[in-house]
Amino acid sequence: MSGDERTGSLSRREFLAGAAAAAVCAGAYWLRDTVGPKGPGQQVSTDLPDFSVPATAGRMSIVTGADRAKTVCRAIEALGGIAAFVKPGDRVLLKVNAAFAIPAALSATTHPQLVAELAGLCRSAGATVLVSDNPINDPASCFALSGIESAARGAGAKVLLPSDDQFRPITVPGARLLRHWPVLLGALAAVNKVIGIAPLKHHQHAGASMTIKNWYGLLGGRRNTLHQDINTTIAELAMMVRPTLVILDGTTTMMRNGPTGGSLDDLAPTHTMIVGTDPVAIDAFGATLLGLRPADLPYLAMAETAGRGTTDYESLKPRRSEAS
Amino acid sequence: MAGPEGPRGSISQTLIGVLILLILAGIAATILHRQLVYVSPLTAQADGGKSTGTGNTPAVNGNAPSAAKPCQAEPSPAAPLRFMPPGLSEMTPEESFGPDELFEKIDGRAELYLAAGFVALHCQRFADAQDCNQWMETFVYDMGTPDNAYSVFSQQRRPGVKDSDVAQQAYMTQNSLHLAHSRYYVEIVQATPTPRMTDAAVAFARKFVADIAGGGKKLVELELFPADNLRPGSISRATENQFGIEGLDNVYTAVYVVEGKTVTAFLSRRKSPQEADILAKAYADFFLPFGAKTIAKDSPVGGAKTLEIDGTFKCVFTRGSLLAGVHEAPDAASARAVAEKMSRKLTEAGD
Repeated sequence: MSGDERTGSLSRREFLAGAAAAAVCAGAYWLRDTVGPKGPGQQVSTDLPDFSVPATAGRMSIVTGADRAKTVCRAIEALGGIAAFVKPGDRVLLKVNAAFAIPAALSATTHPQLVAELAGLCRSAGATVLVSDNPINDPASCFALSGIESAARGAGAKVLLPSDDQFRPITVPGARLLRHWPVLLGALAAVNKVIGIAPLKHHQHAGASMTIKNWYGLLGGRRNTLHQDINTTIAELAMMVRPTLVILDGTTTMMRNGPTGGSLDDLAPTHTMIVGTDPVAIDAFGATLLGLRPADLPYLAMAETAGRGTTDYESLKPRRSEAS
Repeated sequence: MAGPEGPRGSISQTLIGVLILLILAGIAATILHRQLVYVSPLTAQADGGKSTGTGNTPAVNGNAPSAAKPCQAEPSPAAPLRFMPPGLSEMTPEESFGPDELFEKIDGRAELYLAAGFVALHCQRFADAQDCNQWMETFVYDMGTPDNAYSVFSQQRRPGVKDSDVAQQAYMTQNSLHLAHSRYYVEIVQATPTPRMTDAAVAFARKFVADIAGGGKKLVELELFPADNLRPGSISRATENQFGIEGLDNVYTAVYVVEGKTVTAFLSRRKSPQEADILAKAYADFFLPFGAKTIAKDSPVGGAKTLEIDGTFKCVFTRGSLLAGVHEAPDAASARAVAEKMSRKLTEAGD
């Protein structure tokens, strides 16, 4: 014990130490981060709404044929018709894959014929339709050169090109990677139904790009960093979106050099349209058209474990037919 | 100043106190400054890496920049516009991408290029001057070395396509032309294949080959594979972990058809004969835990080790700094036949 303490008064040393401590505390309070990692003016959502229709759970149809308009209509009809999924007054988002600014013939993007057909079906059910995606390349070029923009507008749908103000961070419950991640809420918040339309493609890194990987186009930010753990990313995309319906277009499949392709020689006429409410099952079947087993795509098992569907697509007793 | 009851502080105590206050003030100033320019993890994700200082800065949505935005102050010697043939016009300005941004153009395919030493991509669309609906997109990948350019060229080669004479390494598909020349890999993709645009693609490729020096020499490894029974266009180069074996990079593979049987041969130039020997042993050892058995019979190839695993046969040997062998053959005879030819060729080449 010092003599100062014995006398009960402050020494110079104690005064300086106390003043410094007080300054540090005051400074820390003053400098504290009142905004947090979400950034100024942005609310962190914890999850997306559930867009599924409970009564249609586990429905799946597989229709063979070369004409997309016919096969997709037949496939939806087999599931109870568009009215089972879309009601008058609904606002539907068609989440297309418009990733690249290349022509539809290269099958790297959602075919415009499908966009027109689905938009028409939804509108005939009394819904308004929004078409959107956050492409890899420049959005305006992607929507124009892929033919999606003109097909959507021609069918009476609105096209939403992504811009910075339409993204808000969300955290997918239970996710390890998709935490505080910017998502295209500008499109998702404007609708109550979501239909994913994806082309069936080989993917150099993930093995395959199908309906679950299609949700990647809802993400913003530095998405390429997610490729470091692509299987977890895709599984978490399955956890993020509970869609109304998904459509996997295997009319022409990109068998190699995906996801961009570039050559017509990369494509094979597989003439199959797969439609349903279980994206894991749809993609598990899609894998077989690429010559893969569902087990070859680890993210499918991960999504199944997360409770977002089954890789045993036959257990759903898919309705099979042909549309010639 | 000390209190009236306390001892008087020394000058050294005063100086230490002032020093502490100055340090604290400095820390506070530093924190304040960092806070004012703070980039949260989210912003870092969402700004698309603005801090990288690249020319092509994506926005919060993570897209590539608008194609209407020119991206380079200094035109590259491989800028596509330099090779635009007559009859075409610029449809969009040139875009350029470095290793950090390649995903923004080709997404998941970027992995292949990055693993092979990718340096830069220059791409641009050109339209028919008479019909703007007819267009093509040109991609010029700078891969750093001719070996790397050959890697991405060969690994993406479409099966059954015919070689093109525009370059030593070139082929055409229904709508695209692909070539490796010097350190560059070039793709020319037509939106809709027409004879006129195909001619334009060929003209672009010819001008590229004529103007870019250094593509005249064939890669040495391609000459080291025996020509007999070699399937045309089958020589491919992998840059890393070939056959799943860690450290086995820079491996050329080729497919032979011997009496109707398909045999895959391989070749890899190492830094020294010692490294080649070490990798030959590593190659053989790799398969032992999977049930591979060494075939004891004398091999016609000196120093070769032949293995059998699940009804397929492998053979590995070295010649100086070259590691070579047969990775997969349906029987021992075809494995030995191809290995022997390779050994002879390597000996003749004196490499």
